[in-house]
Amino acid sequence: MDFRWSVITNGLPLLYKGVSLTLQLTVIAVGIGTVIGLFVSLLRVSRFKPFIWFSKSYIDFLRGTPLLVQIFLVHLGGPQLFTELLGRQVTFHPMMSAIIALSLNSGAYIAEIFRGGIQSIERGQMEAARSLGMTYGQAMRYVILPQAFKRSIPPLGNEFIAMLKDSSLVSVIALQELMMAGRIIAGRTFRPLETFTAIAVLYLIMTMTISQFVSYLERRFAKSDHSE
Amino acid sequence: MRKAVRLLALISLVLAMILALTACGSKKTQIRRFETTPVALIELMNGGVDAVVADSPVVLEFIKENPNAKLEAFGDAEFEKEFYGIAMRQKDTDIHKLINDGLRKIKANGVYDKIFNTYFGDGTPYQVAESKNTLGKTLNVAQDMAYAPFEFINDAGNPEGFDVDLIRAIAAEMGFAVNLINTNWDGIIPSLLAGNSDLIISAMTITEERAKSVTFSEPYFEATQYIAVKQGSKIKKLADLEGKKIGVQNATTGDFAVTDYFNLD
Repeated sequence: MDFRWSVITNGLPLLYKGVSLTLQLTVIAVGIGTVIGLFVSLLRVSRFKPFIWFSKSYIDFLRGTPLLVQIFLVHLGGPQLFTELLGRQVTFHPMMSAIIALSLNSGAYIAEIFRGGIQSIERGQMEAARSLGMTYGQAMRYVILPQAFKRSIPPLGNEFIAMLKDSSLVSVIALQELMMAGRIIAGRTFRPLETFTAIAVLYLIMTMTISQFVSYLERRFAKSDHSE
Repeated sequence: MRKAVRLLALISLVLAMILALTACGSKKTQIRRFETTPVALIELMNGGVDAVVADSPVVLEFIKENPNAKLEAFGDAEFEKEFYGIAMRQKDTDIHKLINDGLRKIKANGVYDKIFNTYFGDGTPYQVAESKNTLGKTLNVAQDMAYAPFEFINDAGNPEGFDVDLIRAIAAEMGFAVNLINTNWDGIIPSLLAGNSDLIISAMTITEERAKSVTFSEPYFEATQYIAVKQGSKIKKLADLEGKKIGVQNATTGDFAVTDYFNLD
């Protein structure tokens, strides 16, 4: 079996930059997505119909269209739209397009994660909070959301891992994250087996590390369940 | 836990700002590699890159077909002459003979000139003869169909182009049949080596590096790299691209030329 390790060793600088950018994009996308998701989920569980309608539409669109389509829509479609609207050349930096597309996408999935967490808290909690004199807002802030957040940690961890892998799609707008490094190396060496094996292993190391960290977080947060 | 949420939001906002600032402030020459040349040219139209480096006939065809894109293109003495060849597996010596004989024959009997004329001459359309497949052999042909005027999908949804006509003419002349397969450029040589295709005719430049993995036919077309920019751009030659953002298609000779000239990764 002629497995050329030199393909991987020669490609190390590109691979290193790729891993670095992939991690940065994922952290930013999920970070901003968490903020968006929290906001949208609160709209979704409110009793105000326009809020519900808006949040449902947002979630449906972002979850109902492929991420690849969203990336092209933002990066290639956005400049075309705004250039016409504003009458002067508008350009999106690919980093900006990637962060926008990934964050919006992440936000939709995280909104549903939080909604699941919030709705899983039994009504008795809200009733008890209200009967103590708290407003709806205070009840959410001090009683419901803290518990909902704890329950959301495993699915949030999954979302982080999913986004880590989905970030590979931004290679189509020429960002040099890990998948792009693979395309470049394979394109130069014509050795896709060595190249993409290395890429897969690198993604695997990242996702497994995150999984371990999420398990650790779960254990730490679970401690408070048993505190006496 | 709420502190954790706030911390995470803060970290990601800070990282986003750092990334945005470093990306905006960068004065280094940057190369952006796209999957296809049309996407790189759209990026040029949107202002995402300052120039695109690609094969001259393709750039000129794009400018001709899209006048409202307001682009212009020029060559540079730094760019070498390039020759396109048909790529085949090294061990398929019978196919090498078939293709080279066919190429020679259609150059001798004028069919090559008629096809050349359709795309690069006065435009008189020439209908390539249908192959009678006397050899009873069908070869799979890989082409990246996003490369007018060499290979592209026309409005009717069918493959059309110089390379398409050329391989069909060779097939008709030598008595075999062809099955055209639209293949991503990134995977086109691996597809040949893996057996998913038997020939590549996709405006592929003959290079030493590629010739290590495949066998090329005799050259069938001459081209060079052109630089496409927006009309009115101050970029007039390759050296002017220093510090600018350059768009290319990944793993093309344009990509390699720019990467080598500016010593990029």
